[in-house]
Amino acid sequence: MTAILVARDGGDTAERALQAQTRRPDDVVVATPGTPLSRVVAGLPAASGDEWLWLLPADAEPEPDALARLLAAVEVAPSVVIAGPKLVDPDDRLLLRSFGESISHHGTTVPLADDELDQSQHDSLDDVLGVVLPGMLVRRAMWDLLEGPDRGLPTVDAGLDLSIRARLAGGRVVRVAGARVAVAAGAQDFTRRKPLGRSARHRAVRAAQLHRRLAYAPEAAVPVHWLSLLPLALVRAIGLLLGKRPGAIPGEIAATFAAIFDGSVPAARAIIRRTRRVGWAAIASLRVPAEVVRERRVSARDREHARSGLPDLVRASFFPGGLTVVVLAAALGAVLSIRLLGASALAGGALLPLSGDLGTLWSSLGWGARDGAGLDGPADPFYVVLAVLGSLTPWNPSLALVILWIAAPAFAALAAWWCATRLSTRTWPPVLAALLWVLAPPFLAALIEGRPSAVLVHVLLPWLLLALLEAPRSWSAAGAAALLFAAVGASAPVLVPVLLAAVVLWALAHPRALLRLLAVPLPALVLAAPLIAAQVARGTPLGLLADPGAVAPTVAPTGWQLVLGSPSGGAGGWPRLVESLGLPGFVATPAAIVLLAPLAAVVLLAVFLPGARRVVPAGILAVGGLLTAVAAAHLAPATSGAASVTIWPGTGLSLYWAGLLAAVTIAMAALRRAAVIVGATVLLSAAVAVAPSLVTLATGAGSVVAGDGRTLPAIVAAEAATDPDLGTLLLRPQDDGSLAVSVERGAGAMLDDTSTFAATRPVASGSQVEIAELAGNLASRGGFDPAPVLDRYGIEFVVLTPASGGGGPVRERAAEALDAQSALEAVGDTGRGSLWRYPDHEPTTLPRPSSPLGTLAVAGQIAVFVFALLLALPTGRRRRRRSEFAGTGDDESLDSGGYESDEFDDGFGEDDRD
Amino acid sequence: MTEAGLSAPERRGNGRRGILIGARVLSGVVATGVAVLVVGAVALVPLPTTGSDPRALTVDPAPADQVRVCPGGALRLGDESGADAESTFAIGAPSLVGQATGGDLERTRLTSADPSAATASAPEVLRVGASADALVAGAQSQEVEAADFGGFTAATCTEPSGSIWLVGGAMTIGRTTVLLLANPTDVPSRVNLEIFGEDGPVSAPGMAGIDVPAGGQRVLSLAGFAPGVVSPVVHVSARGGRVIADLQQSIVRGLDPGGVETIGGGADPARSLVIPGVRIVDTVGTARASALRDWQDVVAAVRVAVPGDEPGVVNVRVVPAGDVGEGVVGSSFQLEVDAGTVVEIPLDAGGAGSPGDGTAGEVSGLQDGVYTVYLDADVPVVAGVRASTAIDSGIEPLPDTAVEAPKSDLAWFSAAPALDGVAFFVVPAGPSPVLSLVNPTTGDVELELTPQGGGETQLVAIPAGGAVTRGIEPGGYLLAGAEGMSAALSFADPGVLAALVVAPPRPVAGSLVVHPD
Repeated sequence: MTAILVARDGGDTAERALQAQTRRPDDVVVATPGTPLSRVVAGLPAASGDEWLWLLPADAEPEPDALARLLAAVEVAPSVVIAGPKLVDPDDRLLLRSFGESISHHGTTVPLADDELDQSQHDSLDDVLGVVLPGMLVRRAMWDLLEGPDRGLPTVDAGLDLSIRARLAGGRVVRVAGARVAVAAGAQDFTRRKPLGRSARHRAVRAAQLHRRLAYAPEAAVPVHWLSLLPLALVRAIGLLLGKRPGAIPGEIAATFAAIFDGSVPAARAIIRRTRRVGWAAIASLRVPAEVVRERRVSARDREHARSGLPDLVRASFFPGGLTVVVLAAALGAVLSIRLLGASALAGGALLPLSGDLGTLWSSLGWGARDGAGLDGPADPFYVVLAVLGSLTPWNPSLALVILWIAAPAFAALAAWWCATRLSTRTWPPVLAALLWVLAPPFLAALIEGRPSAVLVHVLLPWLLLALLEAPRSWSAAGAAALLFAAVGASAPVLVPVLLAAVVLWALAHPRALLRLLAVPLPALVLAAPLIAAQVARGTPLGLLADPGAVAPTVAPTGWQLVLGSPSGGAGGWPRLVESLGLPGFVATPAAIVLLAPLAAVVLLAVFLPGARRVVPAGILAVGGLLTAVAAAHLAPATSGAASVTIWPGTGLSLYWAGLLAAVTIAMAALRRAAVIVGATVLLSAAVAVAPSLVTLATGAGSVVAGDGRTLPAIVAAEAATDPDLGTLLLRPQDDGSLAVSVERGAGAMLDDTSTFAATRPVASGSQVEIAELAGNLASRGGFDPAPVLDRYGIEFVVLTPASGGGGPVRERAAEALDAQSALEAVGDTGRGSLWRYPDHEPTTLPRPSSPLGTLAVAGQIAVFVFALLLALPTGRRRRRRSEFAGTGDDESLDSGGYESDEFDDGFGEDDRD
Repeated sequence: MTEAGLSAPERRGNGRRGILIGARVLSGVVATGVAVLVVGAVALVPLPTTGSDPRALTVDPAPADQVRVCPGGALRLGDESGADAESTFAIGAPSLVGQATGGDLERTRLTSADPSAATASAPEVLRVGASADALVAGAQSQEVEAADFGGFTAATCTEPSGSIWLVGGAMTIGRTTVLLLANPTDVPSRVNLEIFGEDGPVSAPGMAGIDVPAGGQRVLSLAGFAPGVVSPVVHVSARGGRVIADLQQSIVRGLDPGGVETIGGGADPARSLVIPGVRIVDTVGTARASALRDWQDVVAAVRVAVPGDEPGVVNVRVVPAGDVGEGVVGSSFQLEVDAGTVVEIPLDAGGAGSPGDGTAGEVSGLQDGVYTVYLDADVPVVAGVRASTAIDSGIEPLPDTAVEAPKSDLAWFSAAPALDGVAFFVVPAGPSPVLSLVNPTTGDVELELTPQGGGETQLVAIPAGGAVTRGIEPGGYLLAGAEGMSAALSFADPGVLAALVVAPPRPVAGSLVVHPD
């Protein structure tokens, strides 16, 4: 009887314990960690008779009778070749560390006892499939026959594998309930110099399972298993994401590659072939049945949750507060957009229709043509938002925008209510926050001016903040936050700097989830990476902040108007209202100030009330949003015609408003009794403050009108059906008496054809100069022959849009010159302008720009987004609790439950052998 | 309870609460201060706006060929017997002088409205390639001698335009006015007509969308649109190809031809108009003739139309040209013209005599001479002057007796647009041509008149507000220093009268700022 101690630094516990054994080993061999046990054993003198080996970690502490009981167990049963003691926790000897192992039908290792209280519940059953190496008592002859532990299993599953092979060789493996050995480290760290880290353990466990699969599989199935390794790794990676364990994915991939190039498999298979005496069927009964595996997994999950100590979510219930506010907002939306009901597309402001079919909608992603005059460039990240939005109504993508417009107040209310329930568990503060969010001046201005990206931002912003709030404790929320960050960042690039700063601050405030939070902006950055690269390479980094979508001129607001939340020079319609009431014009700003004063007062009150610390992030958000709005109003990265176009400050003001409302919600929670009166005052005054905007919307005095889904005259659209690359020269008389010109392709510029890369060009390109020359000459009587240029750019139609303001003379000049142009024939006047046709146009197909790098970038973006999406999908059980203030909780949590799910079967095991 | 009465833990608790409240107030004050600071900075600190400027290109349009189109020979709707009134018949061919500088003159003919007409009577296009100093001019004159169609007419070859104002013609019995439209471009033209009469604007079917084929001519009878109108004023506007438009008025009194005139386009509506070189001849003869039946329209008259929506008051001054001679007096009077209407009033309405009052032998208030007619109105107006000649029969006819008609002719003097610095014009063949130059500006000028056919450059000095009249030989002339001047040519002989104005080239298309998006 030889005891082999594997010593780690300073561990002589086992040695001393061996001295205290009632039955001492004949010989004690101390092995240095890192040395394979088989080599240590091989170094021993040849076996003489019935010799046993006892493997112990140096810091193990066998109870004095442990060896005696083990030997007693094997001595009464000669067929036993391996015996394992009860491994217990050194501090709490009643806590089982390991007491036998088995495998499921798919080959997954299943510990028979794992960190559970010893209540003798396992003592009745001796025969097990395997035991772990530490504490294992093994017959020397069998050890030699099996050539010791598999070289492909250095740590994890080494004991289990040895046991299984011993069983196949005809021996028995038993566990001995009476023998107790206290061990500190896990079995996987036996013989290792240093314990495995968390992710390394995942990798080792998976690598061991794959190694065993290849070693145990029938000859014919090995190639199939080998070929399945990589696809399986992919499927399991998705599973790990859905299980909110993204940290395990690198281990999974590493283990898979280790298995693919695993050279130790043939040797392992040879040993099994040589030593096997009984069939696999003989050990089938020792495997763990599937239902038991499932049961154990559930109980492990519960233990994990109990251990994590996360509090259950408490929030106000959706009934009646949330439902009421959403219904109210939906009704308000229907009233405000009553003229848009039944429309199939929208027009006006920055609104354009979307491409008519999903193929076109999605194909604009990636590298492509960014204008009609040969500019190739990267896609705006906003295209993805549009493509997703348009895909919601695949039969008519533009309809999604109509629905968004009508339902935006309801969506915004729902989002704000939900977000506010994280700040206050009471019923009414979230309701107040939701209503104030719907009445936000920047939101109403976006609806009036027709800015789809700003409306999207206002609807998505509360969800983003909610997801960020939850992200420190939930992978699912972090995934959702990443997707929402990408959507908000794509819709309003000007918000990205302030949101990035907010995420970094939030990450620093939650060091435990630092990396997870810092990863939140990644998808947004990956999505914008091609555009960032292109803009920086062109020397126009400021262009990255330009508003996506159609370029609509902005009227710069004053600082006071920004403070009052008004993103446009119109100041929410107050000056016009004051004027129509016959009051002096300077009354407008004070009136708005007075009406918003209650809101400001409550915000300031919040910093004096209990819970003021929670107001700090809200305050930072508000200041960040306001400063972003100020910066936006003074940055003009894009141009349209004769105008430099500043960034719309409304998106920054949405963030500002969000910060203010967060403070209001927190103050409401602290105000208790007075909250109702204060809240009602704030709500009423704010509603009056935006009343001019509401009237503007309801009476249809805004820019948004129902459209017909076209941007060019119908005849062009009809022609474009058969000649999708036909060019249309669009001449737009400008108010300063100049002429703006662009070339549209096909049926005209759709919202998904607009490009900030094109709109932020600093200088005109060669082809733009050529087209400008063409336009200037077409708009003048002269001897210019336009045919060569028209042919070169495939232009069939010339559209001269109606003029407003000072554009009349130049329009007249252009119309007269075009009428007299012998190369063109007049088609007539349409609602979208006067139309001329170039009859000698030959349909041509433009070359489709493609760049391998662009394709690669798209592939990378898709991968990152699939990653984030899988992570975001809520797969866990919901944890709900009754709110203390309301009825039954019926809301669905974004939270995944926060537990780490167990290692799960891939359903692709080594079943049905022999 | 006093402080002393508190137990030690209570005091500690109170103290801690005090500190807590104090800290809260302090942090609140700090936060409020930050908020005030931020709001104040945002509201009050002015910031510059930075960003990219709009992409802008200044496009200088490629210059076009200089083109002048001559209206062609006299035309008649219907044949000599008056039948076949739908068809156009050419009467003879004009003699045409065309000259160009700075390029080769290219002469082509348009398709005449009369398919059987001789080539020579078709409208002719004078073209010179585009270049900085290219100038082209032409003029035609024609002595018409047909059965009921006779007289001398001269017309300038004009630049095609999209908007032409024609003042002249009449549609009363014996007066025939046809509209000659010619389109020298490659693009068909759609012409819309506005006709103003003494009773206001005339509307009739067919006045809109008149097609003038590319490279073709179209002739229309004004009587078809406005029968019986005494004093029409026509505005021709063309979309598509630019056109030239002329009115051709002919008079038949009884069976005797009473004159032919081709009326070219005059100045566009303006508050101030100049009609230079109004040549009054045979005042005795016309005064005598005017007493005859159906001869009342030999009296010189000014026709004023207000095309706008507001009625206007027009001051008319008839000023004799400076070097005509002493004793020639002018006249001055005021008209009130309703919006959209035309008023025709004798030129001497402000003078002593009153023509056409049937008083035999009385001489009109204006004497023979060359006059400049100035019109100043408070609304934009268009105007023209009609003058006639009739050989004095020497006998005092009894009123309304049929005597042998004296040889007579008429001329329409159009309002002349202001010239550019250099004017190039051609004097066609005709009896005693006279060049009238008017200086409506407030400064004295000295013009250089250079004959193109060789000859001395003459200096012509015109005082501010004055006019100069000069006999001139047929041929091409270059007039330098003519900025702001008005010029006209007239021809006269006993029983012969014709006039044409010198028009500047239309402004070339200026440069245009284009923003490529």
